[in-house]
Amino acid sequence: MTDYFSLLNILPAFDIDFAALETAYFQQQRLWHPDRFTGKPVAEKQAAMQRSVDINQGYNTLKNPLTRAQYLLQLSGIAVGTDKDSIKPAQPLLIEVMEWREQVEEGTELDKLDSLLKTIQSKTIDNLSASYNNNALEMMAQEALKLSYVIKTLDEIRQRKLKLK
Amino acid sequence: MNLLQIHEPGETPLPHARAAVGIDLGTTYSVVAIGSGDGAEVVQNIHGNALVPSVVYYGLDGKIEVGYPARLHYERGEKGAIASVKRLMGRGIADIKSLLGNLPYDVAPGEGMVRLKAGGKEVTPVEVSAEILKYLKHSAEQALGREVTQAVITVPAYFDDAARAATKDAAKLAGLEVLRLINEPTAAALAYGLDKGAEGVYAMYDLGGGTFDFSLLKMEKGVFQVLSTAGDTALGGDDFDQAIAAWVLTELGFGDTVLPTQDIGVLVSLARNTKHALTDADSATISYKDHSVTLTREDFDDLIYPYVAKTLEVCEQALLDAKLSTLDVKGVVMVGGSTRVKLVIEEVGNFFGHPPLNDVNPDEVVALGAAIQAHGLTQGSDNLLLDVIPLSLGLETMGGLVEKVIMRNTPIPVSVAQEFTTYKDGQDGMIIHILQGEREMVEHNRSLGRFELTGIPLLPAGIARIKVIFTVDADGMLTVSAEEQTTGVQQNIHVKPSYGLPPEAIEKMLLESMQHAREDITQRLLVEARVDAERAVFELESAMAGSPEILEEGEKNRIQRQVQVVRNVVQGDNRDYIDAEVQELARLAQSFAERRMDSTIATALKGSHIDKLDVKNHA
Repeated sequence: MTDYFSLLNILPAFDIDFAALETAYFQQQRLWHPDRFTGKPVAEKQAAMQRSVDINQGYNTLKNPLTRAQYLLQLSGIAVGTDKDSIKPAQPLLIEVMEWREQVEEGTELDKLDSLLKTIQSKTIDNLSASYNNNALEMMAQEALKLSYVIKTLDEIRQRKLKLK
Repeated sequence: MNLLQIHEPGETPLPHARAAVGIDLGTTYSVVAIGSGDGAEVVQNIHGNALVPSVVYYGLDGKIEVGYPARLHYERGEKGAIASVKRLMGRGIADIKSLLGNLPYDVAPGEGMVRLKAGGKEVTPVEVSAEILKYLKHSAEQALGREVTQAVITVPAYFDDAARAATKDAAKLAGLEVLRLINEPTAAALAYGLDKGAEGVYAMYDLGGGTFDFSLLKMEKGVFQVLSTAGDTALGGDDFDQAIAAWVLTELGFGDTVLPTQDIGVLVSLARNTKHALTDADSATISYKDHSVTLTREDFDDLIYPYVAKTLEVCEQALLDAKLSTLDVKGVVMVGGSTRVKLVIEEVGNFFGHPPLNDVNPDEVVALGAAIQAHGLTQGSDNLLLDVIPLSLGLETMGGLVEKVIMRNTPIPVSVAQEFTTYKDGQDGMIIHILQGEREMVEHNRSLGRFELTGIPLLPAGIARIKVIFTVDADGMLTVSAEEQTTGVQQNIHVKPSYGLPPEAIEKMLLESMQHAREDITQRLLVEARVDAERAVFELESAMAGSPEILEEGEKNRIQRQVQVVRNVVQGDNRDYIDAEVQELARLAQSFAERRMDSTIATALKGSHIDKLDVKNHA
């Protein structure tokens, strides 16, 4: 399959022009959305549907910084995550994450942790950009792992706050 | 708007296309509208409005009435009148426990879906809805002066798979081909956005008789992109009526009395009239069984406040999912009759910080959007609706937990592959349980069905790799396919729907209803199969004539031979043969179709500058 960047006519990069991505997304869906194929032969309908699915998938992957970073790494042959051949989080990161988790479970100073994590989140996104631009892919993988933990913990804080309410 | 259209020579839309309409199949009222090049118009009834009460009356003599006459029976408390059936679509008896006792007719459990007792028999909610659709189809045919065979039907965005399937079945029973199911708030956005030229992020607050939907959309240059949607399929104006009815009973000292089912219909109708009166007046008097009691606006507001507050929680959820705040929302469009209630207007205004937009008819805007879409789908259009799935899809895993496969608010169509393996040596089958909803535990979500995989090659435990693909199409409906990866063996999937009716049941109902109308079902289905076959051949031949350069000689011969085969079987009267040969034709033409599309796009891109493809409204 064509990669998502080609599918959506944008250059592979971490820093993408969101407006250009969106324009390309709408442009492609205008051509391939199932609504454009209601009166067409079944085979065309099916092929277009698959294309429309890929465009949606591509748009979703690229618009989100975390999935975009993971996808760029994947294109470079680097897997990040829980699979056995993938890059694992470094020890200091794990320790940091465990501290956040403990704090969430205790439910103390959640607002403070929330704003701390949001600062880390935007800094991590900056680091992802810098490491990709410098072709420092190992470092980028660690930053991507960090971002995924930050996002997960932010979500847990929200859930926890709802429960405490 | 001068927009780019890609039609090839000989492939312009069929001039003799049959008429397509848009239908808002609502809980309390339904509306049918007809689209044209410049918009859409609702079909008016003899009362000078577009609303058809969604009530069906089954007489003991077999006579069926729909709309106002049926509602008269209902208001008189006569047995056999069925209202608000939409709440029961795709529902089993366990799902509607909270409604039982509030329904003015008797309900019985049934396979897949509940049965309703009316006119001395039991009917399914699908059949009742089909009667409403038949009525609307007929009204549109009278207005148009020609046959109506296709429709875009709207459903609440929050309708689950079973309710969507039930709606499609009802259309089939009514003799309507569903071009597309579209979500009610999306339809409203289409009609509103085109009419007002709205651009930016808008919210659709759709409070109907029985359902509440809230969608955030980005509208831009003819694109209607749903950013998030949330809702409640058991929340609406009906609840306001029930609250008033319960209040009346308490006030009059009937609080603990169990009412006969007929009286519920009478009382609820009185309650509804009171609600309508309170949109203008500060108080209204209700007379019931020689007593009368007065309800003030303040007391009414107190009664319904919990329901209104619930809708605002839903709004909050949708904003959170879209990562937006109320400040990002340019306007809130009020859709559905219940948005006429004063408290609703006030509370929505407070929540969003500006008064909601009341400049469209909230009863008609959904049907108008559906009709615009029906016209676009059959005649071509430059509008694009990009919708999402309302509820996450997941699978049952160990310990009764749910693992999400597709998250809610993912744009559709969407397809996700998941790999499974066997846990026993020589295991040749497995059952996959599919659920819809957001909760962690299986029992808190809606079961869509159990898919049984059979014919897995006999391999040691953990070696087989079965790839299961879940696809949600543009109607928001799920299909599943599977393939064993190591051997490439295609798996058989047997679907046991948890709710909804199996196809055989629909065929049977179709048969019964046709017999009732003294029509020959086999004949009808055969005619349909022939028409479909002829259409398939016509479309393929136009495509081949339009792109001869990409057709390989051998391929062309194979396709032409198969076209001849299809033409031959069409002469016969075996529907299954016709369907099978048409499928074979589609298979032979698949590669050609794919290549043709690639070249169409290449030509289109070559022939015009990119900035022209980026469709903008410069006019």
